[in-house]
Amino acid sequence: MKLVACVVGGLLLLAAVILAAKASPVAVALALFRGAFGSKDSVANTLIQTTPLLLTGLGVGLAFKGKLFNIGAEGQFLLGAVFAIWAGTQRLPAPLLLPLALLSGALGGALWAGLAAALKLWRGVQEVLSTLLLNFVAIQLVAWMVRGPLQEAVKQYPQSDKLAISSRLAFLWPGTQLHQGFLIALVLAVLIWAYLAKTASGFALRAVGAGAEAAEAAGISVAKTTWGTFLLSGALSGLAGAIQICGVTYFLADPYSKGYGYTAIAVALLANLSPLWTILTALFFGALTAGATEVQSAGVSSVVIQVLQAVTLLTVLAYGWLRERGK
Amino acid sequence: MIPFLLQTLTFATPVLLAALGAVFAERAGVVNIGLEGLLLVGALVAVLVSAATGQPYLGVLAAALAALALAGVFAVFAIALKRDQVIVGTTINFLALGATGVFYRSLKISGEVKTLPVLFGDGSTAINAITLLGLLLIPVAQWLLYRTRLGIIVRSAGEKPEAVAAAGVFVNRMRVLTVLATGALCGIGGAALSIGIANTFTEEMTGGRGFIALAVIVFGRWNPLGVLTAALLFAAADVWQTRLQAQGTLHIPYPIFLALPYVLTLLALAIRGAKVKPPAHLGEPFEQG
Repeated sequence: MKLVACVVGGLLLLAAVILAAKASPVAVALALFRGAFGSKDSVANTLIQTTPLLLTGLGVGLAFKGKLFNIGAEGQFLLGAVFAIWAGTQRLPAPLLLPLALLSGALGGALWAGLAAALKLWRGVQEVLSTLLLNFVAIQLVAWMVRGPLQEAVKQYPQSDKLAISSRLAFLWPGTQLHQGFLIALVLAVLIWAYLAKTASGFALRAVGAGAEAAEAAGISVAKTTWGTFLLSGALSGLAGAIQICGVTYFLADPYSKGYGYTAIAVALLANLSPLWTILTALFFGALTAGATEVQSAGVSSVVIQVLQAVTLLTVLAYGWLRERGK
Repeated sequence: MIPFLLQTLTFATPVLLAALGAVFAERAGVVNIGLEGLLLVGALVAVLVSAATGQPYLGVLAAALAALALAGVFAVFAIALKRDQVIVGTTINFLALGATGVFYRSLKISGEVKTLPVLFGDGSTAINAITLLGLLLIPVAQWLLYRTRLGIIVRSAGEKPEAVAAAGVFVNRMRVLTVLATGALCGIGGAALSIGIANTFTEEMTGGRGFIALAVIVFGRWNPLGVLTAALLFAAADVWQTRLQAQGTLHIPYPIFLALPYVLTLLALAIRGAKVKPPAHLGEPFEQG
């Protein structure tokens, strides 16, 4: 009942924004649905958009669970893409390149998150600020890379060379662009769930998230856990960037991200930070992102998706309040 | 040197106004990541209203009111409903980014955007009323925070909220007040950006200034004078990179210049970081007994 009230409230707010922008909410909803599920290609596109959202959503969820406000999934995603395209275009035996690119991407993301971890633990800089600022640095890093060190050999456009066919992720669904990265993301969702629920290190993460002082008193190293959480969270977002390179675009361009790392925050919070629920919420936002391609035809800009994200978060926040109050 | 200083002052104004409001909010115990979104809304509304009415000052007023309303949404969720401040602030940013994008594209700007009149100077050294307002507000804010009863209550609300409550003052009302004031100041700051500096609105034009404002507060040790110094330092770096880029004598790729303000902010936080202490109850909701 409370949930229904919140969702209805959210939908009304959304309809009001769309009406104010002189478009029809019904037409927008239909266009979204058509864009997300209207054809075989659009269903595949929904799953393609779900993939980076699931991985970055897992990363953000993990950090938030550890009470670390890593708002930097966007930057970590970009670093993952940079590292992946660099590693994937090296002169090495072909079978090595794909795994190397994916691992490098995860490393890149972990490194970027590690900067925030170091700033927090050594210099007392709040991670909210450092991760946000690092996003802006990452955007410029990509801009520089595709005009400098990683620019294509012919030096014509600000973009990198393409990955060789042998270094790309194979397709999963014949006749569509859906790639194996989707499966990797699903497997990781289960693995992260197992990590949190079944391992000592996952327990430590949850304990620090529940209260750092109590965790320290119980003999858990808060510093060590903080490092681990940041690195793992960044690695997941970095891997998302690498999979985007190896499975979708095959090259780096500027600008590169569609804001997956920011949507990831909504994905993680809607899932209540649970890794398994994140699969569903990533699918929800994946469908919205795919559907956004059609929204223009209903007379409203595709950035309406960001309003939708915000309204979703407000709905989640209001529902959380109602539930606490009911107890 | 004088032109450089005047341009720096103009560039510093949006960040300065946002940070000035947020100093009060943070002192009262509220951290608002949504400054970026509040600035952005102010920037768009100022342009829309200025173009529609031909009155730039009406644009500034409308910008202040619009950002104040959005800050009201923040206050409802973060203070009245006691939701996590970082998450509510992030939501405000999404909302502002999405809504400004949607409205900017659907409500085509009609007519000429009247920009803020120049009070004195010209070109890059022009000073407008908002820049002047920002400067005047520094001593006012310093006085309010350290010399008035209101200031004592604000500072105590973030350090010892129980004591404030015990003295019969509603902590959360104080917090709402500071959040709303921050909203209005951010709206004016956004107007300074769109109809003062850029003379137009572009999507995401705030480019992280709201986040830099948060860093400026840390660097300025949560006091108005410190915030002025820090905001000027960062603006100087911004003006310097713009000028170096324009001269084109240094062969450094432009993305490196563009990254400079963010890198300097991070460095400044790292250098200053370990030595400063935020208000004791920053970011924590308060339950009045």
